[in-house]
Amino acid sequence: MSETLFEGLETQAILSLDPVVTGQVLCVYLDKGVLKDAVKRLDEAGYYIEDVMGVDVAEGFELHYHFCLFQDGPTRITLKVQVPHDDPTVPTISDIYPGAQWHERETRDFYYITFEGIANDSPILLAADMADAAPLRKAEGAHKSYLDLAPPYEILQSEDEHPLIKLAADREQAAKEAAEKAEAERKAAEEAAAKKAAEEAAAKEAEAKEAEA
Amino acid sequence: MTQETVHNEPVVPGFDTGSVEYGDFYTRHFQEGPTENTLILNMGPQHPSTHGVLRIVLELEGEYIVRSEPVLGYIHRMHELMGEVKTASQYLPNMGRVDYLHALAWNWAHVGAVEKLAGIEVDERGELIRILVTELNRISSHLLWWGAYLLDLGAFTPIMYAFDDREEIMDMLQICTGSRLTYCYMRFGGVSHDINDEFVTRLTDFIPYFRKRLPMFKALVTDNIILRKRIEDIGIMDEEMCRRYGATGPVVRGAGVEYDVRRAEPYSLYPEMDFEVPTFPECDAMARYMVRMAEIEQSLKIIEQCLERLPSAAGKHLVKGAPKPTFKPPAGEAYFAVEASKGKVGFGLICDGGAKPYRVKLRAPSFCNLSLFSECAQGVLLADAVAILGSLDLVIPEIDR
Repeated sequence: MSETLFEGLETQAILSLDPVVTGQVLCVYLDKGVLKDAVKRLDEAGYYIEDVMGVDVAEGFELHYHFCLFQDGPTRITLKVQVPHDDPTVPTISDIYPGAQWHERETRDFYYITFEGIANDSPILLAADMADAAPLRKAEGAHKSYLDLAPPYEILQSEDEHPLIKLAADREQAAKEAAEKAEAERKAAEEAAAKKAAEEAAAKEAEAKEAEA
Repeated sequence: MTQETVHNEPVVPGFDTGSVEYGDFYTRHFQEGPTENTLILNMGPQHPSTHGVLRIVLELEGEYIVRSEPVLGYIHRMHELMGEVKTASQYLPNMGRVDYLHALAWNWAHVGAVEKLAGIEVDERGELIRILVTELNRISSHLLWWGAYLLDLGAFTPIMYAFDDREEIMDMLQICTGSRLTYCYMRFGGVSHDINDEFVTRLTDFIPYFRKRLPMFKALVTDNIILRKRIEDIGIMDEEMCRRYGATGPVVRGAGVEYDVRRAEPYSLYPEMDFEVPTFPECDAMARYMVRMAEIEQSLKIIEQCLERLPSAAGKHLVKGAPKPTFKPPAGEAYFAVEASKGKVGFGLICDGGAKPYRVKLRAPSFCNLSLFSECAQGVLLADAVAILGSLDLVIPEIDR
């Protein structure tokens, strides 16, 4: 099973996701220090690299590494690493997956994140004199927290007091309240309908009596 | 920082431009220093076999490639930024311009990701029309690749045959989509217009006609000894190499791996369709050629099944209550993949509940497939590099995005 892949690694959180809703089966939050160990495990397990993408969130830059297996069934695993805005460096994984190099260079172009140890870090999509243009960095005030963007998930394991635990509890509470509210509304509607029906029946009866008289 | 981008000198960490006067940034970056026996050669960005504006810097020893490095970005359009400044509906036309040869696959990747996130279901009729036009588009994409690849290799005639048939497909797709190339046909919840009788009649006539053409293509080109000598045992890309570089589509199927997104991560009504995933184990350019030729036949088979089912299909081409242009996708994250003619197209979507997505990621199969070129081309003849490049079926706007 895919979640046992990361046993013994110091992950921040491992989330199980619904592939029908999110297109992913597993999402692993990691510190950049254990990123390479996690990627090595995926390499040994036969995963191929799908892509690397950056997201600029309030907490910093979040890097998403997507991996899949060459087999049938949903297999996508996402590794997520957050680095602070004032120190955007992360180790390269291109020594493990050479295909990651272009994706990392692209991310560097878009966010000006440094991938430490990358063999070639020249701009890949942007022009040579736009190396630090960082067009996908969000403007001041436009940042959202990664917690506001999180898809529905179930925590398989996590560090104590990880913000995702609270978020999951809040969401559960909100869902419960919404369900209760919907249930109350349904009951109120039912009662109103029953009352209306009773009134109508009474009116008909009265009419029938009048006609008799 | 974002606006201060004008520099006289390229600012790249760890790279000293020094006092070298010749070549541009990429040539200088590529060159390690003067050597006695090797030559630095720029192939492209204007070169007939790079199909547009792909550039490859090569170090040659005689006619053999010592090192190579593709230089990208000549038609970079920053589609991913456009995804963040436009609403989800406004972004629809962008998709036809990423891979203009299999535009409908990109259409589908986008609407599929949004539908996944918003939980929109598509009617049977809408799904069948989507499959039908996407497969038809796949055939036209493979036909163009076939003609252009042979043109790269020096055979002029086949592209005439290929374009003859492709023209008919484009005419047919124009009837339902309204455009010839950069289709913007799919909508959240279905497609923009229903197909009409003229389209169905022409398509019904086209299938048997085109089936008869395929043996002629085989006799004319596929069995041709000159072609076989040219592309057999050239450009070996095995499963392990595809895995390390993330190569998909005909490249990985030409390495004997039965991996097709339509089967691996089934979407739409593909699980109900009867078709095979052709694979060839030779790992060479010929294997990739054979995969694409076999896929044309499988696409025809799928199209026939769609035509058969369409008259009795439930629902409409666009589902009732489909989102209006003002629609706001809910907050969350979704990744949706489709099988395009080049390989796996991935659409990563992160929304914050506003009208505009927070982040859009386009995974282009050509980009990943090309990334293994440097390793593959090491030690091969320059002329074979053309055969390898062509066998990858590259579309430059998709690589550069």
